[in-house]
Amino acid sequence: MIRVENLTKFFGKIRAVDHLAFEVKEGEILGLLGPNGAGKTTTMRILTGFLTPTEGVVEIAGRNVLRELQRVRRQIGYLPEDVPLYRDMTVLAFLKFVAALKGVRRSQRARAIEVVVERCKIAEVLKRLVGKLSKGYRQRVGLAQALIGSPKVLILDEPTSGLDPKQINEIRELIRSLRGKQTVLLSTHILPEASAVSDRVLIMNEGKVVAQGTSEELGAQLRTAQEILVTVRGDMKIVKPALHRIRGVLSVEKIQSLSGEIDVYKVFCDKDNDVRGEVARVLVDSGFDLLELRSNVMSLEDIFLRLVTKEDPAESEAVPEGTPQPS
Amino acid sequence: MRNTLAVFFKELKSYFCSMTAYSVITIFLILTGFFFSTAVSYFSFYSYQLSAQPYLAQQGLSLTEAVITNLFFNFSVILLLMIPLLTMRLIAEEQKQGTFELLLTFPVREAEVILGKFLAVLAVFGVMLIPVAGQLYLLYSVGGQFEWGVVASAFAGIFLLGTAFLAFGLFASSLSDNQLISAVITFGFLLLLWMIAWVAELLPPDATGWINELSLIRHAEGFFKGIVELKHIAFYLLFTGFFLTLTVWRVETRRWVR
Ligand SMILES: Nc1ncnc2c1ncn2[C@@H]1O[C@H](COP(=O)(O)OP(=O)(O)OP(=O)(O)O)[C@@H](O)[C@H]1O
Ligand SMILES: [Mg+2]
Repeated sequence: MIRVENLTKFFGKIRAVDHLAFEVKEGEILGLLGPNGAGKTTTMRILTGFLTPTEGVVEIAGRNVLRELQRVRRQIGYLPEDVPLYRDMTVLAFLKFVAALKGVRRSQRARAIEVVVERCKIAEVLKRLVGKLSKGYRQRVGLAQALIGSPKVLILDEPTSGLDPKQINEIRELIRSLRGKQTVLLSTHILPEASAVSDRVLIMNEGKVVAQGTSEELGAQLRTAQEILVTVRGDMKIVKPALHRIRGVLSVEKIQSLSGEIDVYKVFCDKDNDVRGEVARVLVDSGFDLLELRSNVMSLEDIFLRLVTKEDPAESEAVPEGTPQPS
Repeated sequence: MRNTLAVFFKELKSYFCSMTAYSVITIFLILTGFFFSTAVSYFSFYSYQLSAQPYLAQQGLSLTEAVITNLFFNFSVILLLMIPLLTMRLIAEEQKQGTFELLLTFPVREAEVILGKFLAVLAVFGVMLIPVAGQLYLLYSVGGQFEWGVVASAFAGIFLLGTAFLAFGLFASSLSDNQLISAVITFGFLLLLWMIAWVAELLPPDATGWINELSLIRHAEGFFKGIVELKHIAFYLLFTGFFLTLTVWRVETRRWVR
């Protein structure tokens, strides 16, 4: 439904988007995840034809955005970052205006507005001025205008930023309810959001794709080692070497002592060998009580952070002399 | 067309909801009222004096000439000050608030949006002129004698002049996301094109023609005296068309920032 190829955008010398390529299938929800300045907004602006790329091809519903801009825009509902709305209009007048510009037929406008008003739960603010709404309602109105006319593609730039947890949940649910009906591209800084709402996540940094896939795939791709947490009752001096002898185990570390002889160990092993079965067997065969065994999945958040934090060699070097050290 | 109308009504509503239109119209009304009443009192003063001189009294003073021509000239000076206040927000505000990102990603053409905005401000300007007509009607109802042809031509002149002012103001509004800057550019440029006529008087005659052609006000003077000439109409329409096109071009190329 959305196809992006070799997309590059320069602002002066700044390369905001750098040979970006990705695809979104019909009915899929893709989360665009990246830190500040990763180029998410720029990418979305190019997709909606608000900006022209320096280089590259964008196709939406099989049409080239540059060549058939007006037609492509008919298929898109867009929620820009920071939700710019006409503050001096009432919500209802604003939605009517949007419906007219989106080419919804006059006879169907009232119905089209009714549908989005109900979906976004903004019935109680229809008569109020947009500029006087709370952030949550403004966001909903922004979402409502994007949904008017049921466009095939929805492009939502940080749809939940600045909302309270309850509102975040409601908006996420709303987006999830679109799955399969509309194709959605949404951007966010926070990984739980991307993995909670979207079918697939694309991690961007400095204008490039650094990783993409479902959250499980991302986890599998990016984890270099597995961690297993084992809780055992038994003598540490015997347990530790026993675990060490298992093939694929890289290191064993006692991280916690609970009451009596119960200890918690962290077992690292290489990611291709699933050693959990072997660990359990060895411990039980040796007569220890195996109280708990779980793989400690490295959280996606950790992966994301690792991907987007570039270690700056200059920064990690010794602190210059004379600088006061925080203690 | 449908998009232009949608933008037109939205802008019109926003003029009247935000009080901009009311305040500008009110001030315009006060100023024109002031000029109008002074013109009329001068007129009655001189007519009274003239009545003492039998020879001149026979000819009489023309109300049209004495009042209308000067009055409309004064109105156009007021417009020079008021038009920038009407046009400054049209595009600058959208750029500042970021709403262009919404508006220009709907399936609309830039030209439709610009035209809608222009027609809306033109309508507000039209509304501004209604009270002026009211004042003239008042004078007529107490027995004033007008040559209605001259009055109509003066209105046409001021409307064309205002149209040209508005087109430039709209363009200036697209140059910045700061409304004040747009207003200053509009005022400065229009004033320059106004004063250029004075410069012309200092120059050798062969250069005067050209410069006079550029002067916005020179083309309106005839209208205020009741002389309608096609070339002046053409000047204002071309001027308007030129700056509207420039505005569309300016907004379209915004996409290509690099
Ligand atoms: N109009 C512009 N002119 C110049 N530089 C720009 C412009 N828009 C964006 N940039 C630059 O392009 C880069 C990418 O910005 P972009 O807004 O796309 O990032 P983002 O991923 O949306 O960030 P955030 O999460 O903070 O919204 C940044 O370095 C930004 O400074
Ligand atoms: Mg952004």
